[in-house]
Amino acid sequence: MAPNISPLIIFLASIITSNMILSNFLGMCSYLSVSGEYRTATGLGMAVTLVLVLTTAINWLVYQYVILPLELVYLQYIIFIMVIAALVQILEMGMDRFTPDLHAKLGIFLPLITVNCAILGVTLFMVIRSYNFVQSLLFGLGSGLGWWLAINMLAAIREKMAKVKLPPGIRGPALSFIITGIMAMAFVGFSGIFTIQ
Amino acid sequence: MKQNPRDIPVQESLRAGILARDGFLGEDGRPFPQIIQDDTETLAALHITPAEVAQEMRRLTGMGIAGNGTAQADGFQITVEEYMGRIGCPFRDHRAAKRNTTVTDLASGRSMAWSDLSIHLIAEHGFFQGKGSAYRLEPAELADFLKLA
Amino acid sequence: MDFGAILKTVISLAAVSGALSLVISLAEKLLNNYGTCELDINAGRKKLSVKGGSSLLSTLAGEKIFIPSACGGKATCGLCKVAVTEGAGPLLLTEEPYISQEERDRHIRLSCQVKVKRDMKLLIPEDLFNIREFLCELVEMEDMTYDIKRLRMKLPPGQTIDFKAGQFVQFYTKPYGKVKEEVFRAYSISSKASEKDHVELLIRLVPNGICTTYVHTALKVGDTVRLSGPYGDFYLRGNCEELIMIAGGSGLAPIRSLVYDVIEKGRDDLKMRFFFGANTMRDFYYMEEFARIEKEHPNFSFIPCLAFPKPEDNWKGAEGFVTVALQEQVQNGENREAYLCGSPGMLDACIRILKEKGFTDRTIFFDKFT
Repeated sequence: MAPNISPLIIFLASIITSNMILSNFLGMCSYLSVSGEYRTATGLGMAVTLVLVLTTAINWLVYQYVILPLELVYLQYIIFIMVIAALVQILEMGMDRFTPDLHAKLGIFLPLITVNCAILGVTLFMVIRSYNFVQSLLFGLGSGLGWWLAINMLAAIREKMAKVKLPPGIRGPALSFIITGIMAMAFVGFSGIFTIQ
Repeated sequence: MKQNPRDIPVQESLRAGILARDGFLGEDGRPFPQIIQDDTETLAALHITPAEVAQEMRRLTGMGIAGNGTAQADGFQITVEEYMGRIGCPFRDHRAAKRNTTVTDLASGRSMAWSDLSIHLIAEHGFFQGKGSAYRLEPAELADFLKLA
Repeated sequence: MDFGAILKTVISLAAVSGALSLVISLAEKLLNNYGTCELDINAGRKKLSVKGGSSLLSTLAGEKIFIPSACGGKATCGLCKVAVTEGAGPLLLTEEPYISQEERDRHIRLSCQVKVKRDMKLLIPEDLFNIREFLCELVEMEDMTYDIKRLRMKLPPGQTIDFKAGQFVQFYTKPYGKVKEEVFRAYSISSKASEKDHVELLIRLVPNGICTTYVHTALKVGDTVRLSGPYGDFYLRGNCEELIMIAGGSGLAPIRSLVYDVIEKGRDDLKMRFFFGANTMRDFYYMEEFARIEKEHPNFSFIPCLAFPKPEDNWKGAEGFVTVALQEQVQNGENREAYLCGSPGMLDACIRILKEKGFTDRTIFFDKFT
């Protein structure tokens, strides 16, 4: 049975209190490596959000109408991953064809997203928490926006920090981790508002 | 760590035989963002930014050009040699004149050489090229040579 | 062991991946196939039906329309500009650095980055239709100085090249050593425009240069060389009384062709003064030839300028850089046109002086690829 939580709460919580990066630390690799520039980070954030909404929707349908009826729960990981990979590939072709301006902006990020763990993470959370379709959809959208928010914040800070003289050894991933840690602590402050698991 | 997809075409252009015969990486096995980061840190330890280094290089090259190819200033002998045509920047934001500057410190006899593209790469991208590349400039050595350190 | 369970796992996984593969193949067929696209060039002047999916540059090259380019489609030279008024889609990130605001308004795009995906309308300078590709034989190769080689190539039997003196061709290398791909570079033609079955180029060795190293180390007489051309708007205008020609190093190439062009056209009314700059004696070449032309044609005068003469050179000509001679010997820009070819620094210095003397952008000519 789906838990009795308003989809709106799930949506807001997944952006703020259960942020994919700042509270679950999922999707870290692309978060760290593509956050050097605000503009690029925006592109990736947008692409992740788009893919998250679509994969959550499709994986929900696959889970309910293929995996559960055929009792394939023990194969769910591999099936989810295949669905994500196929979807991203089709999405890229479709974008190239129909929305070339969007493809010009997001196209190069799509292959990177196929293996972004935040995508699989959201699908698995959705299954574990047995969300219904609407809840899943808003959970996917919220998680995407939350991820986007986090990478944009990091990118903005990193752009500022690039001009700052720093002690040796701290630049790059080390600094990104410290910034992320501080942001995560700040986000803990929101946890009183609402929580989901 | 994953590679930023924006970096893939750049990494490709840095290889030998794409823009320059010997490429920009030499024997260096590190991905170029790592080279940039390591060199920036070396300079940061000396409290210098790549932009400051590039500014000084550009100033010396400028004096060489003003002297129609040779100049003597600040204890340096500067020689500038030019070729026809331009070379594209591997980061795709500039086309540099094919111009080489050789600077000799008259006191120590030490000399260093760079191209206009090297100046652009350092100024805009903090890239001193890979170890083993003929145009590699060791940041600490260069800063010392230019009397910035 | 439960054989049935294993079988079920294998079959389900196979079915799922099979279904997904089917969906992807269908999508590929539907989405990635751009079919035949119509290219309308210069408002109906030429119509082409081409297979979509490749870059505009290579699609046009396949139709024997060669857009000048120096980097070979890597978005680093910014030369392959074409106006695409319809069907190009938005400006790509790779194009942005090379397209100015004014060019954006004219729908200028880099043809190596734009993919042909649907019907397109293009505007291409008419001259480009004249560009052909030639598989030539290298018949002569000679050292002109320690770092400049003269290459003489014979066009295939029956083929001719129709070029204006001063124009350039693109020279294609073959992979060699560490260079795994073909590259091409632009070189001005140094031979006479009237000689239509041969092409001569002067190529100076550039340190770390891909194409010049190929020419200086790998190329041999008898080899087949691929050229395309002619390109460029550096050619004789001649709406004046005197031509001021300025060159350094291998920049002599198009000037030599221009000088012969003026002579062969019988323009005895057109005076020519050729300032040829070099740093040392060993950088001079073609000296006897130009001295002979000077003797035979009173309207041509040759002014070699030696920047750093040594006592043993016994130099009697102009001393110092071409800029010095230019400053002293050219009075003003009235009824004069200037033709320049050389390194960017030399061009900048000379153009500055010429402009001070009253030459304008419309009377100063030089190649954009320099």
